[in-house]
Amino acid sequence: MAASTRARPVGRLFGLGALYVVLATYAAAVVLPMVWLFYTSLKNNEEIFASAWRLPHVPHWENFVSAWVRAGIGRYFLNSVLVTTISVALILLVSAMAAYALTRFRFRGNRVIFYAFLAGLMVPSQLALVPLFFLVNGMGLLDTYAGLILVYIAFSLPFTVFVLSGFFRTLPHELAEAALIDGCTQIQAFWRVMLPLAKPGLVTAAIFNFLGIWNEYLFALVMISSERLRTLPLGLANLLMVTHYENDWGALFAGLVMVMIPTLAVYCLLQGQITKGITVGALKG
Amino acid sequence: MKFRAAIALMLLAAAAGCALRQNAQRRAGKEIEVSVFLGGYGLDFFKDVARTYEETHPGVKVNLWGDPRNVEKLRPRFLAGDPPDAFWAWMPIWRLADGGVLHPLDKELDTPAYGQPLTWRQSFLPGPLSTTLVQGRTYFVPTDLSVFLIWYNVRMFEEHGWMVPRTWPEFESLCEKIKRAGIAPIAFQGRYPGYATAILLNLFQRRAGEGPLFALINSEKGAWLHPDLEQSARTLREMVVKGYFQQGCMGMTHTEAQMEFVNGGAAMVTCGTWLKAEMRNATPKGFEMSCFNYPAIPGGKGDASVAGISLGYWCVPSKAANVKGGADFVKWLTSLDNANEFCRQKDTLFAIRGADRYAAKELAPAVQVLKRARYTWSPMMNNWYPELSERLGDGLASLMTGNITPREFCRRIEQTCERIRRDARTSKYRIEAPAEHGLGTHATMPPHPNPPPRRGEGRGP
Amino acid sequence: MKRDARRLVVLFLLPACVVYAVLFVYPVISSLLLSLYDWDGFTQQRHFVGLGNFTRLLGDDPIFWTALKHNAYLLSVPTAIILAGALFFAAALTSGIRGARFFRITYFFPNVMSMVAITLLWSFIYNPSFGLLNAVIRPFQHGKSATVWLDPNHIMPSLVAPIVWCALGFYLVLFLAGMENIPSSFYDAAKVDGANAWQQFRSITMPLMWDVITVAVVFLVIGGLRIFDLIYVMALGYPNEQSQVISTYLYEQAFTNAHMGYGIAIAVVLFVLVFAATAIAMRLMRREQVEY
Repeated sequence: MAASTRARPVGRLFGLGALYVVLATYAAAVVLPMVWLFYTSLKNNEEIFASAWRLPHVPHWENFVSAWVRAGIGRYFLNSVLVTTISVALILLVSAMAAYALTRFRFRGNRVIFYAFLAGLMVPSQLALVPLFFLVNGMGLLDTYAGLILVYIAFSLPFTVFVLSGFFRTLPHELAEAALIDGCTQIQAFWRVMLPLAKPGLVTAAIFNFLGIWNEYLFALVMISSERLRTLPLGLANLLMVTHYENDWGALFAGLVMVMIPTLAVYCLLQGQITKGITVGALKG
Repeated sequence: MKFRAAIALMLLAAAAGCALRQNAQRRAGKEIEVSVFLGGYGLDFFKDVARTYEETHPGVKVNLWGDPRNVEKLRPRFLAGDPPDAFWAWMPIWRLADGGVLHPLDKELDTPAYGQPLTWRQSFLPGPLSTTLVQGRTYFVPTDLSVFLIWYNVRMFEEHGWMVPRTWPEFESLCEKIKRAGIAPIAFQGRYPGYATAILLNLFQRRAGEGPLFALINSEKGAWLHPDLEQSARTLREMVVKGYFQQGCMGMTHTEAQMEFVNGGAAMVTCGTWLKAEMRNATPKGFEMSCFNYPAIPGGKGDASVAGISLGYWCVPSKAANVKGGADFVKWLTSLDNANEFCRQKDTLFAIRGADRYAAKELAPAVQVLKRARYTWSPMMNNWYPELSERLGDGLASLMTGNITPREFCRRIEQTCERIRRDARTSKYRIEAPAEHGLGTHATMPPHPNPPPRRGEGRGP
Repeated sequence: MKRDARRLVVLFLLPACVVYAVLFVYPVISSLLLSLYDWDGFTQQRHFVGLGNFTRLLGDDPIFWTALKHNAYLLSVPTAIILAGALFFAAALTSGIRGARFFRITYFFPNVMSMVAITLLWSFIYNPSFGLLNAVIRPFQHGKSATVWLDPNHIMPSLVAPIVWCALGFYLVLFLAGMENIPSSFYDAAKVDGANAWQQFRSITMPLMWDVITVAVVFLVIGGLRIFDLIYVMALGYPNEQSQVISTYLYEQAFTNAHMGYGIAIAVVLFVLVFAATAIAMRLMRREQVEY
């Protein structure tokens, strides 16, 4: 990047050396807990209490087995994968359709509906929590994934419609018109031409929604009460509460590591996309 | 309008769901649905009870399920008017009783108990049973019972020649001796300061006696402003100042504090009789623990034999499809044999008379305490008014760390009680003091009508 | 509108609107109504109390105000630290140093973890017996007993670190995007005029970043009001007065203490607070639009 020619103010102010020290310190503050987490998960109880710095004598891989089996991390992970991917897929579909209809067609009530979606951005989810509980129960969907997914869709609509509207608005009309002239229906024009063009927006929305739902806790806490249906955040919270009855700290550390690894992997793969998504979102917003 | 329509819609949907359920079996009395809180006691004991019930009641099936969050599962069931037939859950059962949602068990209590020539009512310890009265009727029955005591490290005491204290001055000098030996006298579960309620109220009872204690439990006006209570709060604070509680204990959870106790970091810990069971997995081999009741206060008005207890409760919903079956299952659960079995398996006491036959060695002193106690009390106000329970916990934390004075502590709790008394939407509850319900002295444990044979007198060869 | 287009609009809007209306709009409106009732959530009995829940909440509930105080702490202290830190790091990383990409990637990672995972990790770090933090500072403690970071009496400051650790990376990226948009010619011109580093920052960077900073402030303030996961999990479902925040108090009143109407009233007040805080923050941060 052209930054090297810019010689920004801060470098001059502090002196490069001091600056690197500060940057490295905070980087250590981020990395050190993770590293500590990893090698502590391979210790047994005595080693954990003995010293935080010493590496384990022998790696206790059984901690991971323990966590996977006893704490059920394996199942919770798969549950989260299921719920999150289905939710994100449906959110993108439903929101893209709505955003397209709202931004490219003039009709009565267009503005009202659009602002109704936007208004949802202001509403804290806690406000809907209690009636939602009873409503979902009334539909017979309490403690089911169908119920949880529908709730996630509903609460992701404001943000996703907002983001996708921004993208659809910027797409040129000519391409759609060309498709129509070629004999496509409006709907076909959407699927074949316009939607693929909105890919950057879809990716951004997908990433934000994926992260949000993967990590979501409150709704899952209220909607899901069965142990076998728990998503990962619920399982993790349960792990912490279980700490105070069991005493297998090694397994607890291992459980947390098992949760972090896929997140870390996905992050390494997609961090560029994620950053681009925020950047683009920031500039457009 | 919308709200009513919503409720109607939900009820309709729920009712539709209802019709598809297997309630027919329950209504016909052929099936009993039971919900258990899945916690430290596990599920296996209850499944055994269900199995033996089915064996002794041919033609009846027991559908027993457990869940740590069974409250959340019960909530929609109650709302839809289709609750299970019997349950144990961490729910505001007193409010449910008020709302007519629970079935009063008085009629069933007057029927014969299982396996004994007594009525079900008579099979209970009177003190615990008296805690269940709501407006003169019994809406739930007490089951597992724990006594608030002081646990101590037997080996450590023997090594140092320390004796179990009988009076408070002896207790304080014991703490001083322990301190001089470089050991923390008392481990404390500081993150849950409610544990100090037992200390505070025991001190209060020893000083002031039965009347003021029950006035406090009943949250009567001015009860928390009693001078002996302020004095007891001061004693609690002084214990902290004198270093009788372990350093750093205010940040410890109950497991951490109790770990300190079993690992020798502290000589004693104030806890209920559940300690042994709770620390089962973490107690090192060869560790011996025992317990003693809170010491007497010389010159105090209260009887030193008295003990504080806590209880678990089982209920039968009034709208259950099989109320009779649910009540009968609870009666089976609380039979003498099952109570003894529970005590043996779970290392916990039970609110049934004579259910201590298999009490573990560590619990033996607790059993003696129960036998000799002139009466027992339970901090019912924590069950009745959750807000009070919270404020009490917070107040105790502030008191012990010196953030507020003992007088301020008493004033604050009294204020909270006043707010609760004024609050129209909260029902008020009351428990009779033992003298009121005429049990007289030594009435907690009347002689068992069918005592097991003493050694030497056999029933067989 | 042509028939074809009309078909699309109806078909495309239907799923979103139905789901939104049923599972979002309806519950929110229900809440506003339910907050006017006293209801235990188990039985069908509910009494209409009008604004009784609100008068009680605002007039006679010290716990609410304590919780609000905690929220105020959590929306101000971490916010200040995050803003200062993110601005500083963003400025540093755009000043042409080596490894900027590495730092950016590293700092951002905590943001993709769930707050529950972060809470769990920090509860380990804070553990008085084996935790990382005490291990780090023990050489400096000269034999004093181990610090108990999660002592209920001073737990609030301890909550700042996980929040900052989690969020700083996100705002760093946000500010980077903003800063990289500023043409370097501005800085060159300023240097010619004799401005030093700090003056350049104050008179060029800050004004041109003001919009982005405003967005950041609004997000952080709303986040501080709505915070739930960290408190609920760290306090193990036993939030006592010293660590109560509005969301956890709401949950406790509605679900644990069986005061559903009251809990919903708290949620309504939370909504009003979020709305007000956003409006105030935006008003306070309004400046002249800077065109370039």
